[in-house]
Amino acid sequence: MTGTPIQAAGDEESEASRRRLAAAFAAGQESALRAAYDQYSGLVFRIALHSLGNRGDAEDVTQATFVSAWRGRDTYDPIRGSLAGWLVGIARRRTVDLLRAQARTQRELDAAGLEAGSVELADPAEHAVDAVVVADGLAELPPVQRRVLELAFFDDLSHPQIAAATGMPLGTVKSHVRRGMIRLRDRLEAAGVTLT
Amino acid sequence: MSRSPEEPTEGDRLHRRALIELPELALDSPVDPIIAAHVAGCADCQVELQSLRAVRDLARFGSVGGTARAGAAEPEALRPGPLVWDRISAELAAGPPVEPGRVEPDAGRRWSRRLPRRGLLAGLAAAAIVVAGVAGWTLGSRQGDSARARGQAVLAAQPGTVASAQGHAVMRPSHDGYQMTVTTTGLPAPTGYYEVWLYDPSAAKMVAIGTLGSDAQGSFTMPAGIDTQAYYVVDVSNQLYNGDPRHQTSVLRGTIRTG
Repeated sequence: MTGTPIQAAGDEESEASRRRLAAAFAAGQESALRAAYDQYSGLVFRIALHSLGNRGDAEDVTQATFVSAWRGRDTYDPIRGSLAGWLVGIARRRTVDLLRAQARTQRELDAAGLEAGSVELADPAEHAVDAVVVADGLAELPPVQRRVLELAFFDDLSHPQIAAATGMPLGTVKSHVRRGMIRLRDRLEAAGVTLT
Repeated sequence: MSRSPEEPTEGDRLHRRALIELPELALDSPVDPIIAAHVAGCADCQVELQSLRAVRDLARFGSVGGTARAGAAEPEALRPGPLVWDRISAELAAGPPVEPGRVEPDAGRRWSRRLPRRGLLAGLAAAAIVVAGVAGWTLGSRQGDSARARGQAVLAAQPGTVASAQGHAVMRPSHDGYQMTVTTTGLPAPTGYYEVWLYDPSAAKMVAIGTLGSDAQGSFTMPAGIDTQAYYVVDVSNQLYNGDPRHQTSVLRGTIRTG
C-alpha cells in the first residue's frame, strides 16, 4: 500500500480531466471530438480489431463509432457514465452488427458455392465481442491486479495458491481479485452489457 | 447453521462479509459455510454473484478464443490508421445520413438541432476536401440526392492476395444513377489487372463495373437500374489477360452497408 497517495492523486487528476472531456463532448465543443478521438480511438479500435480480426473492418467500426457518437452526443449523459464506456457501448453494437452481417454474407457465399471470405466467424457474436471488452479491460488493469486475475481465471489457481505463487499475503490477493473483477464488471456494464 | 432470523445488525454484518467474499465464490474458491449459506438465501447476493460469474466466463471465453492477453502486439498496430480521422471528419462535414443510424437512439435526427459552430464546420469541410481528393469524390453533386440510399463497404483481403491489402468502397447517388468509388491500399501489382464487381450472393450473379487504375483506385458509374439491395457485395478480382472475361480470382471483398 506504499505509494497509494501519489497514485490516488494521479487518478484524481486524470479522473477530473476525463470528466471535463466528457462534459465538453456532451456540450458539443468542437475540440472535444478530436480530443476524445485521440484518447479513445485506440480502445474502440482494439475491441473491434480483436472481435473482427481485420484492420479494415476495425477502422470502419472506429469511424462509425465516432461519427455516431458525435451525432448522438445529445443522448450521452456524463452523469450516468464515462465517455469511454459509452463509446465502447456504441463500438460493441457496431461490431456485433458487422459480425452478424458477415455471418449472413458467408452463409450466402457458401450457399452459392463460391469461395468463402477469410473471415473467422464468431458464433454468438455478442458473446465474442463482450469477451474482447473483458480481455481489453484485463490488459488495462494495473499489472499486479492483472497477474492475480490471470492466475485465477486462466490457471485456475485458488487464492491461497496465488498467494503462494506470488508471495503476496492472502488478504492482498483477495483484494486484488475483488477490485479487479469489479472493475471488469463496471466496464462491461458501462458498455451496456447485461450480465444476468 | 444460523438460518434463523438474526438481529438486523448481525444480518447486515453477514451480508457485508458476503459481498466481500463473492468474488471468491464466483471463482469457486471455498468460503466460510456461514457466508455460503447467507448467499444461497440472499437475492441481492445472487444477482451480484451471477454478474461476477459472467465476468469470469467472458474472461475465460476470450482466452480460449485467443483474443485475451492481446497486449503483446505492437502498440502502433493497435491503433487505427491515420486516414480514419479524415474519414470521420469528411463524413461529419458531409452532413447527416439519409436515415438515422439504427445503432444509437436518435443519432442523426438530432443533428439539425445542434449544428457545430462555424469553426468546426469549416475545419471539417477542409478535411473533407482533402479526403474527397483522395477518394475522387465530387461533393457538389450530392444536393438533392438525399432521398436515395448511399452506402459504403470495407473491403477485406481475400485468400487470393496479401493479408495486408484492404480497401473501401463508397456508393452514392449521382445525377443519373449511382456512382461507386473504390480505393485500395496494399494490393501488389496485379498479374494482369484488377476489376471491380458487384455481386448478388443469393443469385450468384456478378456484374463488372470497371478496372482499377494504376493508382489502385477508381470511380465507376453503376449500371442503371441495378438492384442495389440484391447486389450488395463489392468484389475486386485479379484478372489475367487471357481473353476470359469471367470473374477470376477475388482479392478484396466487402458488404455494402447503407445509411
